[in-house]
Amino acid sequence: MAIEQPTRVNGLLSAWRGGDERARDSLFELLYSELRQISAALIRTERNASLSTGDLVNEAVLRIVRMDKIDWNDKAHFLALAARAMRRVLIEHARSKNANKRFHQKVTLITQLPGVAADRIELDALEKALIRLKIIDADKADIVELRYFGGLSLEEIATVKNTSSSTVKRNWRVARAWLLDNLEAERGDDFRLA
Amino acid sequence: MTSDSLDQEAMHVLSLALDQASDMREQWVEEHYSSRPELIVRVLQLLRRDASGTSALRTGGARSDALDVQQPERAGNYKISELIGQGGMGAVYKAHRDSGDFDHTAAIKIVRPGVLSDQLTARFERERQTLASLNHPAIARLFDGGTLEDGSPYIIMEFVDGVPLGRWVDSANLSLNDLLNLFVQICGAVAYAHQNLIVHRDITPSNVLITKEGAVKLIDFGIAKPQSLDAIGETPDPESLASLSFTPGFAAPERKQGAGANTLSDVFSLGKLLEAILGERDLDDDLRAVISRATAPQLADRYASVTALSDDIESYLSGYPVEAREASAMYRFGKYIRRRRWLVSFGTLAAGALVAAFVVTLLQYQRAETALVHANDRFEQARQLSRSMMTDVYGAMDQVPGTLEARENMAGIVKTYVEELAADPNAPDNVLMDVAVQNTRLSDIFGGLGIANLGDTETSWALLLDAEKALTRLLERNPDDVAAIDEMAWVKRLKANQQLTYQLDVEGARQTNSEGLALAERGLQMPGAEDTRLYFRLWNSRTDHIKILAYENALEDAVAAARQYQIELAESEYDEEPQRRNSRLAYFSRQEGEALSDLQRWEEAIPPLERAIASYDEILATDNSTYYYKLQKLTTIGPLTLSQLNAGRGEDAKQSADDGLNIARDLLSADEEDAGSWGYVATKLEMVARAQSEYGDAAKGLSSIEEGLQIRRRLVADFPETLSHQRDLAGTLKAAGRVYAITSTPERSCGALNEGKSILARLNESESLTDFDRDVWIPEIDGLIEANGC
Repeated sequence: MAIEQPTRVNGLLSAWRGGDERARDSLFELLYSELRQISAALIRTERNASLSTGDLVNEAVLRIVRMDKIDWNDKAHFLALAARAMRRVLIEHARSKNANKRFHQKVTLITQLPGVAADRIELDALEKALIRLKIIDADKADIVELRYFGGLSLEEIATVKNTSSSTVKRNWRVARAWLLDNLEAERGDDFRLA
Repeated sequence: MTSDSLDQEAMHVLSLALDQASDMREQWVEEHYSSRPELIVRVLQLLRRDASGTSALRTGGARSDALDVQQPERAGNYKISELIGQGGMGAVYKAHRDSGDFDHTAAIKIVRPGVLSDQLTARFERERQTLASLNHPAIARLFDGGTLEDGSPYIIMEFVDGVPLGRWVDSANLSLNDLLNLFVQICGAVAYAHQNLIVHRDITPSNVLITKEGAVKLIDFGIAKPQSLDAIGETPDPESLASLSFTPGFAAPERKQGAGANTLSDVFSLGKLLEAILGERDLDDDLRAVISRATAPQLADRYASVTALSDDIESYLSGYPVEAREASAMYRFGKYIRRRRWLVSFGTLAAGALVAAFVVTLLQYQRAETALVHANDRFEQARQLSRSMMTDVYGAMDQVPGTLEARENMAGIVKTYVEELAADPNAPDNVLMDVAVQNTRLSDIFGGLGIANLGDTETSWALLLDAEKALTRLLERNPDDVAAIDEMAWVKRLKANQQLTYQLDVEGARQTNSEGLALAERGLQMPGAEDTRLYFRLWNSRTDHIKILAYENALEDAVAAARQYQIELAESEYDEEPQRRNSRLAYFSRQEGEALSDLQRWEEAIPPLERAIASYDEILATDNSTYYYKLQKLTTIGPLTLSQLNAGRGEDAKQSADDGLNIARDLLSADEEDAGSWGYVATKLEMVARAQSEYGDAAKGLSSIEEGLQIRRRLVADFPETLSHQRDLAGTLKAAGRVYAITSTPERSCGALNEGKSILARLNESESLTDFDRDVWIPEIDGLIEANGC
């Protein structure tokens, strides 16, 4: 598989570029199953907590395609597809986790210290907000997916969206502000602990 | 929830706004969409969210948000039983103490491994210690803390079995009075924290829990820190705690602009909290006024302290007028009627009298209104009037003790007027000069050093800066305007003194002082200088120069300069009133003596100090009502007593300590609202306590130090923003350590010393101590702690 897969993926990529939607779906399924395998073990533990989804996506992509063999444009689109797969993996994980766990109040920890990751995002809530954002402004919802779930750089996103990185950056900030505001509104009744 | 179309538009506007300079964005939005208030509100919400500095939604951050946290089995002596909640930084668990001696349930917050760097871990530890010192029934206790084997820091807190305030209010169906009483309890907890130099920073309905018994518990001091850390830093670190953490909707506007939190930001959040818990109720004008005063965007318009806010609520509860309302005749009368409804119902006679009183009051009010309109119409007349009020009337009143309230009333009227004058960009020279002079006088009334003042040092400082601004404009037009130079030299002097005394900014004071000296020296060379007070400005700035040297602990230099100036002054040919020159000489002798006393050359310090006191006595013999000279004498007695004590002259020391206390009480009796006089009384009580405990009556020593400490603590509580009160409290605690060691138990002595030490450490950490405090006081207190075996 290690040898055959890249060839197959390259074939699918050029078919997709040629407008074959089924080729895109096949690529997605490939990425999705690969990501599930890679991330399932890592998600469960704190080990390697420093790995971002971007690292995972790259890892998955590397396993199924030789990146240096495909052109930059394809690579970016491929990563975008991987970001979507990642989003699905993580959301499913979050949902299964919530279903298994017995109910307890949501708590926002506020021992915030400088230079430390601030509030954690509830993926389930984010997913709902993203779906609404997609209705209001699909372009911005895409950027969030690429950046937060896919770990794509501004340049990579600019290539996927066929625009400039400064536009991407501005749209990202706007989308982020809107999402944070929505999440906070949803969370208004949360319970906080000292 | 906002509508999709509005949000679509708001996001578009936001992206345009992001192209503006960051400090102009809000204004830009307000100007461009002034016809669309609902759009502005939404965009500003998003803008603030953008500026909130959170690191949520990072690039590729999805995975760490999805991580599971493993539940540790135990932390210290506690066995962890269940997860209460978790977040990005770690988790909170319920836990039981099982080490046998006693049964105990607690909440344990564990920070994830690797989340904090070593440096941050150290900071976490420090904050833990600060929080552990808070002991108040309405604040969730912090018991202990430590580090797990994997290096994760944790803290053990009181487990509060309660519900968040917001939810409780929704479900409990409370009356307005119940809610307000609850709010007063919350204020009590916050005020207690402020007294301990801790600002909560994130007061929200979810950070207040109500237990099953209905008691209030304020939680989440996780982000609190000693306020002095913020109060001084003018440009807060954007990565700092303060800017990272606040809850939009409850945080004061200055926080959103990246400013540090202070007690007034908590006042703001409490106002928002009150608004939130009162919710849908129909509020009357009083409560609306209280809320809007507490949540005023400008610091100066807010309640000055949490206590002032809670006092107003208590006034409201007992039917008295609230301070927040404009004191209109109708309003006061309405309150009066409501409070005395029973009286009104007794008969028409009483009611008739009330109506008559009301008519009279209303007439007076209308007359005042009319007068005001006329005053505004006749601009030039008003200017004349205000000038004469501020120069002649004020000049006549400012040395007379007991006139504080009269001056305060006057100040309020004139301040508004001067603000209007200053706003005119084309104001002619003479108007600018008026603005400068009047701002300077107003600054004195609010917080002038060495005269009876209202204790509002922030306003006083802001007014000085306004005066400086007006004079700078004037000197830009004509750099050789000798009258402007004269006034500017005076403003620089006042400024340097406030920097030195209120802000403990010695560096700034030295800078301002040399600007003032240079101005005075240059001005004295100009034609027309003889018509100014520049000669005095020069000499006054020289006295300040020595004082600053003393603050910098350059004491040898201070002694040398004081001796040099005494010689120069004796040789000066300037035609000066003998009393003035006498007082100037006294001042330099005093500076020399003080520096020597600080150098602990006790015997050498006594003669110049006695010389100074003799001069002051001479002046006071002819003019006994002069506040200024009494004050000078008073402040000379301090180092004299200290030198006598240390030189082993017990009888002399007891005598001068008593003299000092008498003067201080005399000054205080003239004006009980003068914050400065209370401080003097405390200082002198400290001296009496030391002299008596070492050389006389132990009981008198003990009661004096108790009274002194009580005054200091009250000043710290009433003026939490003025750091020098905290430093003074530490000083009195240091003296208390000595006095208790002789007159009471070693435990009490150690308690006082340790408290003093921790205050000094806190001030030192925020770089708010002078060199002298740091180099002399801290070692002194450490020495006492060691000598007493604490």
